[in-house]
Amino acid sequence: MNAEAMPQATDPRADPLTNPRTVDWAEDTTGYLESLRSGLTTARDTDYLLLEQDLPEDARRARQSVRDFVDRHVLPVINGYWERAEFPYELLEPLAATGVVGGSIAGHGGPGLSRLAAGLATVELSRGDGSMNTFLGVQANLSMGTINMLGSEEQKQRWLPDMAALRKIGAFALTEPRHGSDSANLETTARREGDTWVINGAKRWIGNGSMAHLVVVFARDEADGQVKAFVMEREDPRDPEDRPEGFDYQVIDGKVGKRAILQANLAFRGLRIPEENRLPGAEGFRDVSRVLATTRGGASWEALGHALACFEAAVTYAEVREQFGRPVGSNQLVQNTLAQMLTELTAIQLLCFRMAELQESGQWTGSMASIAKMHTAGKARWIAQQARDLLAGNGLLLDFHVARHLTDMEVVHTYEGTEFIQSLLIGRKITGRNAL
Amino acid sequence: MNTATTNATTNAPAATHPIPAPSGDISASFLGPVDLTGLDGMFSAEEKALALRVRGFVDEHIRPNIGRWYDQAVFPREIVPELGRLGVLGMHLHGYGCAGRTAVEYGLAAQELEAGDSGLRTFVSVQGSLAMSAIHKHGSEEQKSQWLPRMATGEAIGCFGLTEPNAGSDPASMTTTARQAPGGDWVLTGTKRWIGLATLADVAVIWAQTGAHGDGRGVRGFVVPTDTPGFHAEAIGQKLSMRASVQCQITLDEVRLPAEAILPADSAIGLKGPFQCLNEARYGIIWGVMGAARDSFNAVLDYTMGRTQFGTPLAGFQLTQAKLADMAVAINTGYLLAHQIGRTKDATPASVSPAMISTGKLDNCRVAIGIAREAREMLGGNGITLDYSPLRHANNLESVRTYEGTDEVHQLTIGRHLTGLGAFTRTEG
Repeated sequence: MNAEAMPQATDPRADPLTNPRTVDWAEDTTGYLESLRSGLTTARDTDYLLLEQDLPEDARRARQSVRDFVDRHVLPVINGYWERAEFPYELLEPLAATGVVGGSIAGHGGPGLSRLAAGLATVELSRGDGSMNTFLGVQANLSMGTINMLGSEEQKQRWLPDMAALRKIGAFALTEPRHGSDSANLETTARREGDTWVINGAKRWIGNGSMAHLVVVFARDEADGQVKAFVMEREDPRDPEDRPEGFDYQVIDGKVGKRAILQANLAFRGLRIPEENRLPGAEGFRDVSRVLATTRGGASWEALGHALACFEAAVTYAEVREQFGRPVGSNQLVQNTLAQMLTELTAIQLLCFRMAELQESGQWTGSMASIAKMHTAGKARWIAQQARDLLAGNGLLLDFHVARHLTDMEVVHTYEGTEFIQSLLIGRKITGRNAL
Repeated sequence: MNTATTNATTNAPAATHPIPAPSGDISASFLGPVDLTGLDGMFSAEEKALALRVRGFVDEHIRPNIGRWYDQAVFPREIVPELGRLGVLGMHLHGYGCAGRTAVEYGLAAQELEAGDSGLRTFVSVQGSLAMSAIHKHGSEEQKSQWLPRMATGEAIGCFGLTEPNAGSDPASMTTTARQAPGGDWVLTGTKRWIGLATLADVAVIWAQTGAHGDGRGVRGFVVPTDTPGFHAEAIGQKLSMRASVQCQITLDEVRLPAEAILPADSAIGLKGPFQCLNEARYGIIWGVMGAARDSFNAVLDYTMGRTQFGTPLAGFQLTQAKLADMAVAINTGYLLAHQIGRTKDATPASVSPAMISTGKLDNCRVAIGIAREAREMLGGNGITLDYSPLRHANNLESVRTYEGTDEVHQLTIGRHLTGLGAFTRTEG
């Protein structure tokens, strides 16, 4: 759209002096804002380095199915859930129908997506909404991923199909109030009494923790000091009465980012879990690290999704919004900003696509993940900040989407390892010296 | 403007402070078009007159020649007595032929000199803030009488030997030693590096371990005439920064000095001796670099007003104006920071803490180099020639940002002040 093509002549405001009463100004404002807002989530060309042409069919399919889900189901409702800080249960069924839940897990209901396909599904979901993406990350990558990697065949059959269909929600309870970046020092304990385990301790920031049917709890075996994994089951978490004895939770409220996913503090006071719910593959913290290693990179794909959404909104807005008689995109300062956003966005894309290749070939390392996370999260947040600036006052409104992406990006910038932690991991790799 | 001034004068209580209230009239600021915030009004007529006198000197003696000196990597030895006559050598010191100027006046002179070239300002800093102030603060009456008057006139050049090849940010690890021979003579052995002007100097203040502790606590200063046998200085060649200035390596090969060569004052025992001098020099840098930034800004403002592309003066483009605005804002805040520290230093010198000095040195250096680099870029291809000052300033500021404490050293100084925790060293994890 260019300025000349705008239907100036039919604009009722064209001559307010001769035509003063034909305009309902309240309606005009509403209509104008709608025109500014309507195209903001439309996909724009962001494939400047022709990554699209090499995309395999399964990746295209996964991306399209999530994009359809986002456009049809997420975007129309998500701002309300975000504002109310409620989880959108209504989205579970259509999300399950996308066929991407479980990501690269093959069998037991998992779709066995390639890394690239799973990554693009993440991009599309977070391009829609970060809360939903975190929900899926907790559900599939962390909870299902742990059971898939550390559970017995019987346990996988018992739990994974229901989780892949989103009939059962999972949570991954590792972080504790005093142990975030250093979760290896977790303090929650497990004591074996016959065929049951007695769990004591506290967990914090547990995504889905209040609403999960299956909570994977990591606790230190009092007998051998090793970290082990246990699955706490609940029949109907939406029923407030349904709390296993010795289990309590408190939803963390007052969040300013990712408001539509609930994180909770969990408390275990003598909670009893049967031995058959212990994941036999978890014999120490090293096994937890193995699970975390498979999820590393998720935050980078997510950052890409948020950056895409913000860039696309900024480009559309710069076309539609006019000031000083021309689209704001006609200004040098705006074009300069858009150009810088696009170059950073393109670099994020390249990092993510390379990550998928190296993960697929088994060459992906922790240092690589740190480089990817540090770069993509930092730059995506910067892109979101630019978009928010560019949309000016409107950029502060949920209706205009970018503020939600920006605050969600704050969360992404922190989780899966803060910038500081990533830089020190990279620094240790470079120098051979541990500064942590 | 005049109305505003009149109102302010009538309504405000009579000023008791010698510094006039800001008039708000920035149209004729002595700092030029960059003055957006009435910086001009923060300085007295005498202070501005001094600054303009130094500027006149720079315009006459430095500007016409600095491109050539820089290109040929020449330090203009002949300019030293001129600087002495100008009264800027040791200008903040009292007595012994020194001008006894205030800290703010010294700062204003520094920024005018550095608007010419950082190398020239560095010479004045090394001479006045390091070598002369070491002798002035820590020296005996004889040392002061012998050296300071001649150094103030520029007849004698001084240098300051603290840094060593293996002891930069961490001077406590210096390995130059001073041993007292039977009979009381001192014998100095070791190597000093990055010592400004050592090849031209008549006298060097050398810091050395006296062996009393084997760490920073035993460091003492010595006044070493450079013609003492065993003293060798060699210029460090092929510099890409501060080319119109000389930095040297000094070799001390059994340099034998009389007992009275030591700086005798208690204030000079341990590293606090040189550190006090460094704080003086760092203070000058806080002001000086703003001169380089202002000169870069002036160069690019002039250029973009005159250069036309796409039928428009470059200054008419949004991207240009945004850059000019950011540069000007940063220069204004830089001057405000320098002024605040300067006035504090004049009013209550004891309250000027290392953290305060670090705050100014850290930020003004990184701001100034950013402005000089941006200005260079805005000059396009022309910006890479010596016809325009910004790239020279940017290259010079690479040195200034490093010497007298890198960004990191100042960040850790400030961090230590904020937290009470020293993070300069840590146990290997």
